[in-house]
Amino acid sequence: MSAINLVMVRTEGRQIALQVDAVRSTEEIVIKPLDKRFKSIALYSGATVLGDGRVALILDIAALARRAGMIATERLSGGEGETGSPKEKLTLLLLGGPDGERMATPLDRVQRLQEFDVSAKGPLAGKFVMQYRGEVLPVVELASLLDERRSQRRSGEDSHQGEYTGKLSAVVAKSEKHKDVIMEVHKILGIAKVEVDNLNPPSRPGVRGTLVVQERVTELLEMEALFARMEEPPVTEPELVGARAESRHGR
Amino acid sequence: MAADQKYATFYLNEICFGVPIEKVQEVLEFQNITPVPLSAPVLPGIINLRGQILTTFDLKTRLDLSESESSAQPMMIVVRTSEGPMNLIVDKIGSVVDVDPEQFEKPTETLKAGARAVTTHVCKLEGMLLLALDTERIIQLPGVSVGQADRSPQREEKLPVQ
Repeated sequence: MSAINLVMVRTEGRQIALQVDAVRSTEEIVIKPLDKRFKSIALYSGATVLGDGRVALILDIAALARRAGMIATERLSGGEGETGSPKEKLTLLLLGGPDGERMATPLDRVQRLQEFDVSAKGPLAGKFVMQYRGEVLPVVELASLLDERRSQRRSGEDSHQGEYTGKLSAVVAKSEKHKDVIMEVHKILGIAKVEVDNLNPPSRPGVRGTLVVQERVTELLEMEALFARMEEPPVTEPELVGARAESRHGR
Repeated sequence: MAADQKYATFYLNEICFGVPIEKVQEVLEFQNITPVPLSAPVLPGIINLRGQILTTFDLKTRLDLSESESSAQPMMIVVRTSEGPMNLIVDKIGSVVDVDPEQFEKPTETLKAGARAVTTHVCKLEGMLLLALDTERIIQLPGVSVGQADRSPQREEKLPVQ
């Protein structure tokens, strides 16, 4: 029995092993674009010249995994240069908002659906955190990451009381570039498989586009953008954040 | 009367081809091609030319010619195109010849479709024919399914009998 070399990579929230003959090294490289004549192969994101003058092709891992049937969906994080993909098959987790609005996230971004006890959520350095499998993960309300359309209702002293007695529904979301997050949602509705033909333009930041799922207009969330929003200081809506923090402490 | 035009000539299966000399950036000894898996046979791979990555065309495949009859090491010609330099693989390099444009004749129908599609004209030189190629047309590969597109049954182009 001989050993094989595996390179573990992560793409679109899934870990994949590439069996290779040998591992050479890791290098910082400058990716140069490949001739458009190779585009139709759709496996390479470019090429680079190595220190010894040899040329190395850069694999597009997501495309490779798709080709191998390891991931069924098309690129989700709004990848550049792949606008031409005609149809995407997505498995979506459907979420409901307090006003009955519908949102969805690709299921492969979701690690787990869970109801947590409200008491499990604790403040830490101005944010909220929760223990999850021995890790402390940030907790964030999905609604707070989206531009609020119902601000008048939010500022009123609050429907929270009703919503948050005892349990809260949460989605443990996986991120490619950021830390995993516990996303607090109003309601988890279920799972739907859809063919995404044409997304309608996004309704607000953090949304990739809208589509119709089960005869309801649904916002497809752009998870990476939401994660990124979590990390940026809340300059965009300072009053809102302030108001929410107060109402929390008052509770 | 138009001035003579200079052509850099090269050979594929002992047939003499030429491209306008101003289109030639340089001639290279054959060097290692990094293959691009799953690419069409006409595009065997890419090379590193002083840090620049060049797409390499197997010109014989491009012209529908049969596989190599020549045993010698092939050569490479880097041509200037509207899409930047491109690398062509040829059997061997010829010389630079002056051609009087009045010697130009239209490509004959006996040429294979692949070759005819990229040949601008034919010139009778002493003891041989020179097929003048259009570099821009060489790099325009017909369709995605390269290699089949040129085998369309007939290309109806009636040429006047010379």
